[in-house]
Amino acid sequence: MNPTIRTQDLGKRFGHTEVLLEINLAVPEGAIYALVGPNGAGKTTMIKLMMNIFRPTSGHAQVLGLDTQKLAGEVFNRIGYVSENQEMPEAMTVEALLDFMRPFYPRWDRALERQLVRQFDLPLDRKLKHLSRGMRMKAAFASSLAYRPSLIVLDEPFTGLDPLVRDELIESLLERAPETTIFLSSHDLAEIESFASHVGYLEEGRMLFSEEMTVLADRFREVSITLPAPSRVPPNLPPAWLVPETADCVLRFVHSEYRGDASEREVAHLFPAARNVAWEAMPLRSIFLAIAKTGRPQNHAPQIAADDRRPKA
Amino acid sequence: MNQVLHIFRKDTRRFWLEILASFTALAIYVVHYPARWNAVQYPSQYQQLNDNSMVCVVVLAWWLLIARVVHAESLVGDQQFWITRPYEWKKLLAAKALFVGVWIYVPFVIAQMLVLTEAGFSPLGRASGWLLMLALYSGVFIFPLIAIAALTANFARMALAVFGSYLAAIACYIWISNRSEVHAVSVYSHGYGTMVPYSHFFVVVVFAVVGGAAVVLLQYATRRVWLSRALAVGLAVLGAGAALALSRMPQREVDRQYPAASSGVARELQLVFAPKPGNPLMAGVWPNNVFITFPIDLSGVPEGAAVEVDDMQFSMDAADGEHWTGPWRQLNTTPFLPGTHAPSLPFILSRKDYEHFKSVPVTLHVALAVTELHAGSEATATIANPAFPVSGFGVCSAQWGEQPQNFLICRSEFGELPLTYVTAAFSNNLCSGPQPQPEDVRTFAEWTGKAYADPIDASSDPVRLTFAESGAYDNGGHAHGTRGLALCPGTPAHFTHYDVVRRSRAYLTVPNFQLPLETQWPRN
Repeated sequence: MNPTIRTQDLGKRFGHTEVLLEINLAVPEGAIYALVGPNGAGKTTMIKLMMNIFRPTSGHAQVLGLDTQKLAGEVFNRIGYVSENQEMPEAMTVEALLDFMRPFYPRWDRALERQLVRQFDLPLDRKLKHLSRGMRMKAAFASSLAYRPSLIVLDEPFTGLDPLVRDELIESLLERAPETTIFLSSHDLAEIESFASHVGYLEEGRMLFSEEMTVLADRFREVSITLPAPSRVPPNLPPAWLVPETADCVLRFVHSEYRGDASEREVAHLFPAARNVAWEAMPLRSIFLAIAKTGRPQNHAPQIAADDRRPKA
Repeated sequence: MNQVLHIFRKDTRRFWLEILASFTALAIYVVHYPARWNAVQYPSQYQQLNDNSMVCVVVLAWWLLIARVVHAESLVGDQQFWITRPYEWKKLLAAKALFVGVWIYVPFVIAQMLVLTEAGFSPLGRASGWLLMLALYSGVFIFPLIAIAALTANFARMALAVFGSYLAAIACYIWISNRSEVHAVSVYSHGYGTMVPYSHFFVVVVFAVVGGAAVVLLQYATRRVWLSRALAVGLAVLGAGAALALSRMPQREVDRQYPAASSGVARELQLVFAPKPGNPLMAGVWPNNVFITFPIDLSGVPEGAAVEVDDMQFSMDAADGEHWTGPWRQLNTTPFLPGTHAPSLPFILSRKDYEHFKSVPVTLHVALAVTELHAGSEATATIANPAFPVSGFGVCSAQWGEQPQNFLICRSEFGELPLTYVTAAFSNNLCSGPQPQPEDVRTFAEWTGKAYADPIDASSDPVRLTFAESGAYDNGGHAHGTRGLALCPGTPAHFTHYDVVRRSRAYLTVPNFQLPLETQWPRN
């Protein structure tokens, strides 16, 4: 099965500033892919390259099987795009916006439109410029979901929204999930951890890893080794052991390539005198913190498998 | 769904207020327009300002409309909602073109038809006149405004760009004016001070239309703003270069247009250097040039003919072999009828050249580029209020407001009136009561119109006005003032067309000519 989104050595430079470097990525059909990273990591640039708003300076990308530089016109019948900074036709009312957008989309679903309006409690007679940020985002969502796009691309959709609105939007997205591939960016790990099936981590224009959430969770373990006596961090630890530190007799690190018994045997071999070894699964936030502190790409990070295994939200 | 109509309807609904503003401006323009020939006072600067302001208001309304409709789907930026919607650029462009066509061009054409009707002409006018006028408005206003709107993100930036372009155009005009050595050799621009002939100016207009369209097309097709801006700037520079090239008519063009006379009136012309108290040889300096008034007597024009001196060129040969040739310069005079005339020719040379030649006698050569004219068809019309048609000429009026006047205002549809000599008998300004005895009747006699029909005589107005204001001539041909005189209803007016027979050159050589010393210009 062809991935919905694929990039190959995708790069973008503005003047002398490299904003994205050799991004390789594949998002399978039906995935909920969360592109995370700190502010200024290049997430929005990445999305704008995918939407043909920017043109790449190197490499190329495909969306829905089309080169992104050819994305225009009818293909946007199958793509829904919402961005936190999108300039909407402010002078239009919500109803006028929906009325105007409807004829563009042959697959526009009036029933779904009405459902979304009800679900979001949208005031049809209010102009967009008079709506709150949350309401504007809901209007943008409604006008982008009502035609049942094959791909929904969201750039920081939940930034600045109150938890209630955020949950409403996430709920509406998950209702679309079985029929749609969703690609969204966020700098807030907690908001995507509950529903993303895949995750990519972007930092300073480099993709540190990109893989399924379940694989990621399986691959990382926080390891605590109790040694017989206080000790410093030993030199020449394996490169997959991240952010090692000691406190009294305990050596702690993050194992980024945990392989069950094989990894445990490796630890036993390197620390034969260890009194105790504890292996703990890690939340996403801790994994990212470990990677961010290490500050180096995970060269061995596997690409996303074509067979998507969506976690239960 | 027809995307073009869908976007057009959306824009129309959204910008109805701007459309209404544009209609209001046009309506005021139409209502105000006849005041140009019906006003209560002689056209003062205030009146002209008013005329120009009405056109300005219409153009400003268009500017607002164009900015709003183009920026509704702005082509600059990366955050517009529409760029990730299923818009097709060709259809978007077609929708905007339809909007401009329906809400700018169509009302404008209707407004001009109303003006033509009000002026006494057919509302359909002349097809070529319509095309040229629309091309003029498109090239000067509409296409550049659309192009600038397509290259800017909002109205404020567009305003900056428009004013920047306007200043650049003025700077360019000044630069071209200063660099043009030959000031409008009058092949087509005969007469009244047009520096660049219309036909040449029109090349720039066509260039602006085509260039503006190219920029808009590129921007809609690619949304590569800097590429489109580079194209716009490149085309503007190219246009300025073309304007410069076209404004400089080379010597060979004068040679081609005005060959040396082998026969005809120019060969018979008698030109004599004739300084006299009322027409002296004088020199004045301003600021780095020396202006010499060079008086001549011109005679030898046969009956039934007239001669128009379009341009002239001075050259000098000194005894030591030094030679100086000046550029061809335009001469603004009315045609010369049979008789002896004493015009003054403006002889301009740089201060440096003046200093070089002023102390030695030179042989002065004057070449005149002349147009030979012969009297053609005649028409007689009786002056009537408020206006009277003149066959083959236009519609004239000797009335301004309610009062009979001592001048004629004639109007034509699209373009200049043909060169015509108008005569009529003056009455007293009451147009009633005792009138002058036949021997005391003074005559209105004036040239109006142009000898050459410019092949491209575009005008921003559908109705061209020509004012003919003359002195009052007695039976001996002496000029008097027109105070207390008027062209009254019922008076016959004679209109004689003069047709171009040929163009050629006439020469005058003055041996042992001494450049005059600098003098103070006489104060009025």
